[in-house]
Amino acid sequence: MELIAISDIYGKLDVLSDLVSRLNKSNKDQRIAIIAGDIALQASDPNNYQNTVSNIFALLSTKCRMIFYVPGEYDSKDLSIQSENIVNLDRRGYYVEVGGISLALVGVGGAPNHSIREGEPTTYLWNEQIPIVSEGIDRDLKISLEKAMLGHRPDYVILVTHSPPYGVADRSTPITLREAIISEEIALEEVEPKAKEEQEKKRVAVTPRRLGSRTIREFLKYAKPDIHIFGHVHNQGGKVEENESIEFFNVSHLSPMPYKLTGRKFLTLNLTSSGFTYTFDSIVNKNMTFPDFLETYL
Amino acid sequence: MSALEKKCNPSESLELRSYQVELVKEIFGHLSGGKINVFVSLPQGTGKTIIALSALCDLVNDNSLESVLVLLPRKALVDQWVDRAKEMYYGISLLKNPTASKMPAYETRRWLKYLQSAGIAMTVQSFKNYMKKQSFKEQDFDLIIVDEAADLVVARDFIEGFRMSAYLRGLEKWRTRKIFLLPYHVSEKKIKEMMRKFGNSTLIRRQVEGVDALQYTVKDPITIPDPLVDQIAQVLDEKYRTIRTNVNRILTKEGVEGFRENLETLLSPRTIDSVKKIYGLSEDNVQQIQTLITKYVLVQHLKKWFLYSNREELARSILASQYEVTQWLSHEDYKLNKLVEVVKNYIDQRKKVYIFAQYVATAELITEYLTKRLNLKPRDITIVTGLDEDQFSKLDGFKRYGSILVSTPVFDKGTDIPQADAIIVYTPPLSTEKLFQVVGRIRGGEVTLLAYQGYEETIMEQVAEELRRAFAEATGGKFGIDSYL
Repeated sequence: MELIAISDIYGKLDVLSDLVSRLNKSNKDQRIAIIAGDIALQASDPNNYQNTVSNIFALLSTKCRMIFYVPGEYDSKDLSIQSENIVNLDRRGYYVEVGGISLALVGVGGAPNHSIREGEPTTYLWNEQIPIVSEGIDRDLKISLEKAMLGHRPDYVILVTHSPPYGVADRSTPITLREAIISEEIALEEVEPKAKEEQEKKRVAVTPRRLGSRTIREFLKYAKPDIHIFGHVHNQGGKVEENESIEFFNVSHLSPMPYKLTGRKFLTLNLTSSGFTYTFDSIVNKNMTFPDFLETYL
Repeated sequence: MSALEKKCNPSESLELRSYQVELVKEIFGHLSGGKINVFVSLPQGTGKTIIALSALCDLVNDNSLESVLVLLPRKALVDQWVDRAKEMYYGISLLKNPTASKMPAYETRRWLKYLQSAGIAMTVQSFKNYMKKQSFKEQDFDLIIVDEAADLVVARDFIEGFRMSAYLRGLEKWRTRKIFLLPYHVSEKKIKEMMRKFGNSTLIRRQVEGVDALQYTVKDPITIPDPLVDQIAQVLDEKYRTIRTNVNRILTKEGVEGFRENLETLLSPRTIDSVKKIYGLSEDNVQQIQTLITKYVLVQHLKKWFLYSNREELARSILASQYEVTQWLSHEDYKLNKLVEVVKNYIDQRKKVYIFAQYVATAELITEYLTKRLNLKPRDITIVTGLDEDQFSKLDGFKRYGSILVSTPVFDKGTDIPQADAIIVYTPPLSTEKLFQVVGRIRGGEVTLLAYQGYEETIMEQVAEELRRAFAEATGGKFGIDSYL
């Protein structure tokens, strides 16, 4: 069974179309796709949002038997698609058998608000500092997993979230000097007594730090899934970590932006009953010479 | 005055060398004689901090000092300074690292008053924060000591923007007596610039006879043939130059002056806004300039990733899919292999090695690779980077029982590592001046530089040459390393 995992598409149909054209149609029945959030930008393009999302799913459906997704912080919280092959995993669980391999999937969408710069046009954030919010997510995830596992012994349990767990492939460090400069600019601004509180908030938002969710980390300790797929923290995209038998994949980001160097990425997992192998790949023309490659993609 | 009558006394084990006694007298004389700012520039290893502490002690005993403010660039250095003061002098007690957010100025004043502390030692960053709130006034202190003040000099380039001068803004207006301690390699011209800024200043700058000249052997760089990395670096370099030329062309066409040396500053929203207003740049031009500069920054990053063995980042980038890069990533890093060989050679001779890497990612990679290839135990190899809070305790581990220290330029000031017999420069430094300071910490020994054949080889040869000249001059020459940069 083949699993394609992507995230942070931001409505870029052209790149997705390149990805889909690479997938072999004859394997469709053996393939599922996972989208770990930020499918399109709801706030920036509210009129076309639903349409863009539908096109993305339609495109992927041509080569994948099933699509599982969670919305990201730029997606609509209530994103839903009327199709039995397209499943929203946001605080839901699902059991499926594909190509002789059984999977229990569970997920949570959106992102913790501490992971976002203030003023971003986001639509789905949660504040895990508030106990009732954090407990609510934890409870929903536990119940969803229990339901998905009910009466089954799946080969793999897969957690799909948009946000990484705290401490795993979630460190945000400026990759370009531009970011460093902007951070520095904000950090160096004079603090007016009145604006002090706001300034403090800004500072929290720009300092290089871990952006992951502690709530998700706690759930991992309880659920111990085999695989955790997430996106959101772009400059850690492509990172694979293993901890306590959980394999973590930061699959961000399919869109060429915001970081040209880490974009155009997708993960392929080949799952068998005895184990799995994985490869990260980029949607680029690999046969270009190095100077042409730089010219085209940088 | 007998020792019992004095408020401050050196510890029994402390014995100042004769030149140190003379220098203390000289500083004391200048300060008593009405000079406000005394700049002291001495070679590494001459005990600048001890000299400052001794002058401080004399002023306390002279009853002309109640509170001192000691400023240093980093928290770890503040801790070290305060501990050293406590060990060496009875009667000098310093409040360590108060911060504006946790301890308002009135509390620090109360602390000083009731505990009869000699003063406060803090980082320049904390000082800046206190100053923002206008918490301290010049009347609060009788003396200010700025140790490791080399960074007060005007910033050379954009990347090294974190200069102390930015943090000490306003200090030049204070009429409080100040002692600035600088290493000898800072050029006299630069010190004079600083002295002009501060006014009513004097300079004590000298080589010290009687201090053993440190013996360094800077070997020719060991070159590692890897045609692919050289070819890639050349392409990136060419790309970098082309982008710069294009940006310069636009700037010239639009009549924009300056910025050629530090194009990156044009990415700052504030700077570009003011340039836009002054020169009437169109939105299209701004967009074009910023896109080009962003590319040029990315090219710089990529070059570093290739040359500094940052395979982890490269493997996650889209470049990993390009066939030449795929090929390069498919084999082990030749430079790392060479490093294993060189380190093994030192370890077999029971020598301790200090490996210098400019970036944290490279230092981590080196540590991981050496551990695996040489089958090292965690106590054998110590990695210290700017990310570590316990830099000095980790360093202590290396000094006592470790064999290999891998570090970014964190130990460039205030700490000696005489236990290291050799230093290996794995990556070219951002600044040779800084590397000179880093190498100076090992107090003599062998300096080995590793370079990919071709592009990097030329850079490392220059670095080796500059180090040789700088060491020669530091032990008897007339000019500092700055003359060559």
